[in-house]
Amino acid sequence: MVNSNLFPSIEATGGESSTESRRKKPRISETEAEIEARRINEESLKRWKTNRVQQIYASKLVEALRRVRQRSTNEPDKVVSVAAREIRETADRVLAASAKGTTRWSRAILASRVRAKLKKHKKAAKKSAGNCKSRKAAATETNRIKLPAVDRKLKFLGRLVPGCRKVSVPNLLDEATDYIAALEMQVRAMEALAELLTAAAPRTTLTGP
Amino acid sequence: MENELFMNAGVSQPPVMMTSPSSSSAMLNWVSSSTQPVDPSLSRNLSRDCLFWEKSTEQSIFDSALSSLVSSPNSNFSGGGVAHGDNFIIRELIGKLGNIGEIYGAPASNGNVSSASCYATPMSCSPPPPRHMMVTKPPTPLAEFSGDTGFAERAARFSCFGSRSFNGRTNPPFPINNNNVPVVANEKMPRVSSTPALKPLAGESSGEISRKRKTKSKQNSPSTASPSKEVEEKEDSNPKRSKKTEANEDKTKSVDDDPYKDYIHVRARRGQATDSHSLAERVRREKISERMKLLQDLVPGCNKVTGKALMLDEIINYVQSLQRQVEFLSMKLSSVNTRLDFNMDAFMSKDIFPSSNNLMHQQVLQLDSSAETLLSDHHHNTNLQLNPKISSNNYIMTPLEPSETRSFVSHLPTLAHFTDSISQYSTFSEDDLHSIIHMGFAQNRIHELNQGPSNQVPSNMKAEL
Repeated sequence: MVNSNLFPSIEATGGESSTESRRKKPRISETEAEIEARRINEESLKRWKTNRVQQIYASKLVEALRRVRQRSTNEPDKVVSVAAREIRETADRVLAASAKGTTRWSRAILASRVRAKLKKHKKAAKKSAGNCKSRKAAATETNRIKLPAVDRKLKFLGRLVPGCRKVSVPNLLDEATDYIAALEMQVRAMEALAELLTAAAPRTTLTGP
Repeated sequence: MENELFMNAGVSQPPVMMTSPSSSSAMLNWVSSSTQPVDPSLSRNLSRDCLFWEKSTEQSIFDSALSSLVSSPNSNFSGGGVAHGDNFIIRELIGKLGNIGEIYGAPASNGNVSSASCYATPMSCSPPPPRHMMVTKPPTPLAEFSGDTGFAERAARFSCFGSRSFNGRTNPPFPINNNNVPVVANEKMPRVSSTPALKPLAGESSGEISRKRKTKSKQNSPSTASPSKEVEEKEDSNPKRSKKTEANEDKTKSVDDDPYKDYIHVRARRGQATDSHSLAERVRREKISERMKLLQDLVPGCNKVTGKALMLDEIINYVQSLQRQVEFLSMKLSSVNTRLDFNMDAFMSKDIFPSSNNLMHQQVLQLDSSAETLLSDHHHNTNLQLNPKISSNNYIMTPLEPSETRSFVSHLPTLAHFTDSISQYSTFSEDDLHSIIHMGFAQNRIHELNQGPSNQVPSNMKAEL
């Protein structure tokens, strides 16, 4: 795919924000959303490849990492896994922020933090777990025979993409497309950043005594 | 029913029929003129299949009706108030144009009567010129119709359709129409509410017509609140017709700019079921396959795979691998974060995706300054802190891989920019820095090509801690 030098993110957000409100309407929105979704799909693959988006993401990522580092310096005894998880969540949030709330998964990522805090406060975890179990039991009771392979995989994909568990199949595929493009960009950015940092660091060994 | 159509369709009218100021009276004109004898040119049609003739007449009816409407807008719709009222009627007309079944049935309401009669009556005796006119002057009629900008396009499409229907009997200025109509169509795509009659191909010749209307409100309600689906089907067509609709042109969609006409028209293909359910399924399937194609382009290695299940497997694997890569990189970043000096931040933000020469210069200058600070003796402390961990960093760097055996990394242009920037750095930095950076560069290469196990990394991390 050609790396477009335009800034489709701006135009895309303009069109996509209007799609947002339309998508909320039940039936009518399907027709318009389909056109919009097709446009978005064509653009989404490009918008995550533009240099501008990458720079935005990179700069935001650096800022976020700096903040995380400042926070972590206050608590020096952190396990690597915890620190890694923090960084991953930060990176995901920055990625979702750069999506500008046009996609479902980005909104889910940004909302997940708030939801997690709310759940802690309200202690709704037990209730939701109970509900989940009952729902799963009901599902297995009614559908003794396994769902067809494609449906199973679609469900699994829905679980992989954040916030897309109960999303219709075409929307799920749209979200997955955008999510994959965004993830690729994230991986590229983080790799470059990591390489930069680790390349900068070993300078001292060779120059040292 | 068919007899009525016979008589009504046999009318040959001059294209400009609507001379009265109001459209309602214009409708009456059409009604009154319906009693004229059958056009002899139509008699040839009688030899063909009844259904085909009916359809052709309908199209010719549409064609002439709309041509008359469009070609003489000035006389008809003078004044905003009148035009406003006219638009409703016209919209009803347009809405019912696709409702071919209604024509057969006895029109129940006044609106139906007028529209049906409008369909029924006029036959343009000279189809090509009006069509030309229609096609060439879409902008002007648009001004007349308040808000009905898609009308001209529909009319243009009607013309195309009508010309096709005559199967070469008339003089079809086809290529012109076809060329213009798609152009017009593309600009006004979102506003068109197409009916099967609007298909530029000989859609009707391929046979079955079926429409789905997602919302339809024939009253003045602007909001499309009631999602009532009306599906109308037609019988199978004459097998003599040899043309087939293409998949792309099977569907057209309308956006809610036109609140009355919010429906999806789907045309059944030749030899396929006309059942509304199967059509709906086909639409759904095509939507899904479209998106799967996009995903196929995105996910590497999916070109050979066919079938939804395998494709989904690939997609799931790819998403999982990307997520694992992100986790892995975050781990790496966390380990690097804790050791780095804040000097790094200055050039990091601009370094990651260098895209312009200006940035490169900035990066180079900043790297220079930061490198100097690092290399200078004044920063022994930081160096000492970094020293014992650098070796482990080197360890970490080499066996790095995306924790996935597939070569996903190689297909990503990960370090293209970075390596470019590094090569630039080397020209500006000191010798030590030069060697270090080249070492880092080499390590990057190794990192790219290596597919070593990721197990080493956590062990290394533990070792250094």
